[in-house]
Amino acid sequence: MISNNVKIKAQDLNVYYGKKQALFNVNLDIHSKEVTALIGPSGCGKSTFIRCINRMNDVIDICKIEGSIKIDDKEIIDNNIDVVRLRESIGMVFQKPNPFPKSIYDNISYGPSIHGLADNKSDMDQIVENSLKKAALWEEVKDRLDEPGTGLSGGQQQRLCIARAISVNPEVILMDEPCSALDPIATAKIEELIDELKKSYTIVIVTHSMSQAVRVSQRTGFFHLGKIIEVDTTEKIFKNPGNQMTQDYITGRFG
Amino acid sequence: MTKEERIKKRYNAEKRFKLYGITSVVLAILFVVFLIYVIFSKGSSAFQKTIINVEINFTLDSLYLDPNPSKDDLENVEYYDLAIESLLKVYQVNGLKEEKALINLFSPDYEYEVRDFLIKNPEFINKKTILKLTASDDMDQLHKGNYPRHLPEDRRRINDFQLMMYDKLVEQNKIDKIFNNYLFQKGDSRNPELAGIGGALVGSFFTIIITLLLSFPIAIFASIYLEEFAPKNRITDFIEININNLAAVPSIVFGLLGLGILLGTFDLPRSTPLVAGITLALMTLPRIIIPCRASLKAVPPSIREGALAIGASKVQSVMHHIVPLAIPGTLSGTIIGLAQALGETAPLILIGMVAFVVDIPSIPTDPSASLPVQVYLWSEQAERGFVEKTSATIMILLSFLITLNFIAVYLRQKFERKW
Amino acid sequence: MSEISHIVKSYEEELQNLNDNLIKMGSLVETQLSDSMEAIIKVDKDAAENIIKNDAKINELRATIEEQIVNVLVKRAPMAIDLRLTISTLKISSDLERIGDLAKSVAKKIKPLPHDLPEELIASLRRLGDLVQRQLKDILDAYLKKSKELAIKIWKTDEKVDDLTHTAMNEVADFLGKDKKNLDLATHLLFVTKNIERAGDHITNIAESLFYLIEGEHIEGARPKGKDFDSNS
Repeated sequence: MISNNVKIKAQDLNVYYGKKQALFNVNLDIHSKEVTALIGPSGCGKSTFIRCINRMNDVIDICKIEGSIKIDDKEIIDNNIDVVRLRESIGMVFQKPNPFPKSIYDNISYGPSIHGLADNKSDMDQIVENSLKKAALWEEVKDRLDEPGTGLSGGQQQRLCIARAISVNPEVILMDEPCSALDPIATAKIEELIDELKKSYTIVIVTHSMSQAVRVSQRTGFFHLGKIIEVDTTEKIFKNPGNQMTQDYITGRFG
Repeated sequence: MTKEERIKKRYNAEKRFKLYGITSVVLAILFVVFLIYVIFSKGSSAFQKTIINVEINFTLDSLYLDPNPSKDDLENVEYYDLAIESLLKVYQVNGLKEEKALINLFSPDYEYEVRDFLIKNPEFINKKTILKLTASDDMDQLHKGNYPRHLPEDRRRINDFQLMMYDKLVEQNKIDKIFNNYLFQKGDSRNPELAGIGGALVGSFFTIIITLLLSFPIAIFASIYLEEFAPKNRITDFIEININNLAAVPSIVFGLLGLGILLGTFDLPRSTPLVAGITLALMTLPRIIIPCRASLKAVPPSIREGALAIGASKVQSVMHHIVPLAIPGTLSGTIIGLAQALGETAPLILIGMVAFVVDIPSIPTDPSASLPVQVYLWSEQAERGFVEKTSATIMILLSFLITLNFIAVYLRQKFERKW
Repeated sequence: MSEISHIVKSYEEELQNLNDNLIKMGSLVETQLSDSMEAIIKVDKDAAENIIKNDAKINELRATIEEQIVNVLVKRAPMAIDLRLTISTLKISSDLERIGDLAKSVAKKIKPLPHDLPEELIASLRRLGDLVQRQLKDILDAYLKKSKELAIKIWKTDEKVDDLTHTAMNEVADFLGKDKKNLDLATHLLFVTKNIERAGDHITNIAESLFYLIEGEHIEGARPKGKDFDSNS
């Protein structure tokens, strides 16, 4: 089922790193409770784009953003926006799993504790358990919550990062090539998880794997050299894309 | 060259290289062993002092005391007469000259040693006991075998009569060596047998505490601000260059700074651990800032991003995530910086810690010496007795430094967290 | 289609091989069909033997093409145009094989025939056979050129094939009506006519597959149908 509600709307988005322009007039709609995949060759601007959504590009001094990104119709490219609150509602999972060097419990409880989501220990315990269950990691770690998060396998670490992201009840989850550092089984588990998660969260996933985009997403956007070339339902893009460049890319012909 | 010849040449080069490495290591170890040996052989004797057994009868009459004296009474008594009387009984002497010779066998503090004993053990009133009184510096060196007995009499300080007394006393087992408690309890003294590092020890301790309390927080917060919060522009670059240069400034320059500003402009008391602490803190600041910044820089950006992405503010991400990971490196740097400060001599000489300080300081604004300065002062003295004391002080200083370094290693391992 | 070739050369070669094999198969089938039409009109029993033997080559080629398609699917996970090309090639080869089988069927029917066919029957049979042969040649051309317009034209021409079949069958029915002794001949000829019509249907299938390959959509609307055979009309 393809939903019609637009959760995130990017309009005329232009992003510069110093003098170099990275995104050119990007217009893209992300629909609610759906998985949108962003594909394109390396350096085409996909990661830059998703990092605009949760204003992570702010940490890069020379990065300048022009244009508009609206989440639920509220503009977020605005100096008056509290990025801390913004990031509470947007979770992010990175290419290389990056759990905090703390215990598994503390990894999950950190977000809720700084945002004041739990009144007491038992509330926090509940949040930690729910997050780990939703990330399909609970059964594997419930007996060792005190062990360091960095002691888990790569696939488990990534699921821990996903659990950490959802512990603060975000509405959107951004994933930047979440499976590229994982083996096929771990990848399959994450894809399964994404299937489940899309029922509750809006997900944007950057991926280099064409087949992954086909498997997990309902909509796909193709980026090239900082521009959106084509965006449509995943079925259309991969069975019969409208743009020749899109087709050349996904069939491995690229010029 | 054939393949075999090439391979052979390569293996030989490797063997030579390993040989150079092993030779260097062995040489370095030899130097260290040699150094330790010299110091220990010269200094170990300082941990013992020579005493002479003297029988003392603490009669009320000899002390001009009434029966059942109070503590105050005991403190007010003149012990001189009793002491002299007891000393003269040690050996058969005739005439003033010989009496003087006998008295000179002892350290001039005999009066106070008798007094201290009785005050500490008042139950010996009206009793006899044998006290171990400290021998004079020359006796001490003689008994330790450092004295040139063979020299003609007019070229030595101990005359033949004294030598004869010494030999007889040795026969009678009235001369002995015991643990030298004065080394640690007493401050400086003109008499080597009475000189101790107590004052310098406390002085160094106060100094290091002040250095730590001043330099550590300032350095940490400066590092965190410069590394994490300050904008990257020409000004901060300039600051960074200057901090790096500060670390290389010779320590004596900081002494001049202390002399001019702390003693001159602010008129703080000379020769005190307070001034020494402030001076050394200035010197130690860059030596903590540099490793602290390096540790902060070494934290991978993925941790930073993970914290920010979950909605932590900049301050939260720095204080909750980055700083804890930088602690091992910072601690190591701090302790090594402190260890360096502990061994500083030149700046402390400039701010006047060369004073002859007998009393052990009780607060940081009391004048004192520090351990390395004490070494310097004693090394200038003529008396033989100071030679072993100098080496002993170096031994103690070295052991402190080694302990500090071990603490650094331990703390580093304890706080090391894998990321 | 794409001007640029695949970055991985072996992928490009695999698809090219598939293309070439399909065209080769098409040529074989074309030959079989025209030979069988020739043979039946002349009632050439020797030719018939050859046609029946040559069918094996077509089946072999089909098996090869199928194998190659499975390889492409498992190795390349083809997308978009490559995916449609692969699937369409599978379907087209299947249709071509069926046409080949039908040609063989026709050839089999030659043996029991008398030495000459009556003139009135040859004409409409020849017209039908020519049309279907032309359809086959055109669709193979269309495939080579990947021409959407040709595919549509061929697809629409199926109506005419149906009409000609209808005519031919009526003539056979009339022939039978004249003399009940012609039953055997009539039956054989009816089968032959039907087979040729079915060949035409398969060619229309190929046109549909080709259209899907090019456009990514299915040809709209129902297949055009000519009149149905009704012996009483």
